[in-house]
Amino acid sequence: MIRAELSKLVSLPATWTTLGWTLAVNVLLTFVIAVGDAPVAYSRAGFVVLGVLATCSEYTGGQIRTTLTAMPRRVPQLVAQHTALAALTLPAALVVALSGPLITLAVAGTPVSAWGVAETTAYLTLLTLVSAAVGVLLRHTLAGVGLLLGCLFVAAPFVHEYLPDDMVTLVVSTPVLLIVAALTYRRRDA
Amino acid sequence: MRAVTAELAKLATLPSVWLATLLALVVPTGIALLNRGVPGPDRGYQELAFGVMGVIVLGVVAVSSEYLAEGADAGGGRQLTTSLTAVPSRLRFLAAKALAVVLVAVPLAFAATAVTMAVVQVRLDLGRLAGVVCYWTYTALLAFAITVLLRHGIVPLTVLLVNTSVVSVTYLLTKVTPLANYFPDMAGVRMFVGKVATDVVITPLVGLLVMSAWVAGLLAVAGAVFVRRDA
Amino acid sequence: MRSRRPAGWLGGVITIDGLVKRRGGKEILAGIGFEARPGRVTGFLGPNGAGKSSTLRILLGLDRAQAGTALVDGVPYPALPDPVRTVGAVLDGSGAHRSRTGRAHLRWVARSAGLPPSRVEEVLALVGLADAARKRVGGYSLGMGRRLALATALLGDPAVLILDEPLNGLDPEGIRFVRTFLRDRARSGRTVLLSSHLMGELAETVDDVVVIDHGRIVATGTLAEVTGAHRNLEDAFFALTSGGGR
Repeated sequence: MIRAELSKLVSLPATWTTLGWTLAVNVLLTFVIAVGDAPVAYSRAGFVVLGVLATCSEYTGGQIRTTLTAMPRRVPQLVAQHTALAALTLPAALVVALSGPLITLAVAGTPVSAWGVAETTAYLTLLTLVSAAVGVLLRHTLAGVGLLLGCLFVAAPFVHEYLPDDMVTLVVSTPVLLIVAALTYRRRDA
Repeated sequence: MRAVTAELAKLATLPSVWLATLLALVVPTGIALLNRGVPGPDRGYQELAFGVMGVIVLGVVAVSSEYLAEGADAGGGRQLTTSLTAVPSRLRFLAAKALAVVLVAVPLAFAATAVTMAVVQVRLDLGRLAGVVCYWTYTALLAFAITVLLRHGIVPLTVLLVNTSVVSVTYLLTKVTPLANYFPDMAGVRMFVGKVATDVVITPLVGLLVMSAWVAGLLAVAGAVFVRRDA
Repeated sequence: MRSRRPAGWLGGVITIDGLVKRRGGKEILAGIGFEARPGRVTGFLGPNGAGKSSTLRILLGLDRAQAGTALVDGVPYPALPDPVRTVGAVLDGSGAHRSRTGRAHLRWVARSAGLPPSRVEEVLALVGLADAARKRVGGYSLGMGRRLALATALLGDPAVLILDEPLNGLDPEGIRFVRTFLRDRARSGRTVLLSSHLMGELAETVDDVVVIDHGRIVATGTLAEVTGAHRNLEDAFFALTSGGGR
């Protein structure tokens, strides 16, 4: 099932376009405006798009019907889908997380912090999974992207003082949203 | 004129447009409420500069809804086919659509300004009100034009929303080159925000002219491409 | 895998009993029930909006019923141990994402059921899509999308075939192909359940008929039984549904 989900993600051109642009923008921003992993604050938007696309693409052209007739047990299917997404995202997140610090190393000689890279990778992967869960709930790509980016880029800076650290918020909200998404997905009409 | 009323009817029946309306009113007031206690000269106006999310969504979905292939049938029927059969002149169609977006964005900007200013309890300055309305409408049209060019909403929505962040990408770019001050959003906010943390001074009038040029330019390109390309 | 099944009996009995579906306060299905048996083509007939698609979607576990059961071999579809090899379904459209190629679409479905990639090429050839396999589904014509959906349904060589309006969007050649194909499936002992609002097109294809109107079953039986004293199936249909088709 995971292989089926992985082959679905891999054969979607949008997956590669999104990842390609995300990396390109991250590298460009590193050169232009900042050093280290600061550009990730912007390029994380690409991972949001990736996560939302992964689940919302089911609802384009009625693919969801094929998916659920081939894999009718919904919760295992959803778990497989998120596992496949995580497997694809992890290396991509690592590349993006590494690109900034590596460029900084080459240009300014600042050493790469392994812990920092690991944290960024984990952050981006979790963010993708949260986005996928939101995609399942909303079933509409634009709405999902709009909502998440609105939260991340518009609302977050202003509610920051009321929230714990970004990473903590994400670690808490990922399982919660995944469970809510799974429960909704199991109950509703496809 | 009939084309414009048709476009207005389309917008009015699109749930995402109502969502955009809600966002346009809630986002700047919400920011103003959370951002309490910094009573600078730009109190309220600053929030309206960040709160453009609603009109971005409006501009994007007005176009992307035309290109959305509605699931069920394999032929992938898109509303655009129907639209262009009803209004065959491409330019007239696009102009009617843009005008409909303006007709929604303008009252929305007025309402959002009124609500936000009521929340922060600042007396409204008419000149700056005009600036806000202009900036919001232009932002909607920018989103509109970019979506026409790309035929899909995700990229313009992502790029424009990311750039409404408090520290926007265009603002960071001004640290690299002063030319970045002439990006539409950087120049446009000068119409109503007095203090912008860069060295380049742009008067409200110049800001208006620069942003107008961007909007006119992008709309012209979008129009030219839209007329030539297969629907 | 066919050898694992006992000779002559592939299973595949569809039993629907007391299905009730309400959506937004409106009753779409009012406790319907019928059966579709192996070796027969069962036509599920009714005017647009009678509840045909809802029934099939509930049978496939896509929609939830408020009451009643829809079973394949006594089991709800989602509980089947090997759904792709047991049931193939063709619902409206292609059931594929528009930016994937036809082959990529079939590949992922094959993977989900552990079927070899060679099976993808077989079904592509079977429905006559081999030449278009590298094209994106978004560029398919209506007929090609339908063929892709049929190819998807056939991947697991299932004992049951469920088709919602299978003739929609097909050219005369395609209609002929589907008709002969469905007859052959039934002859080889498999179950075929198809829904349609086109009576004339169906009379030569179906063995059993189930007529639904406004969410209620108004007639079931063999083609001859349902046609009864009427001149043909079409007349019987209009008499049964009191011409409510339009």
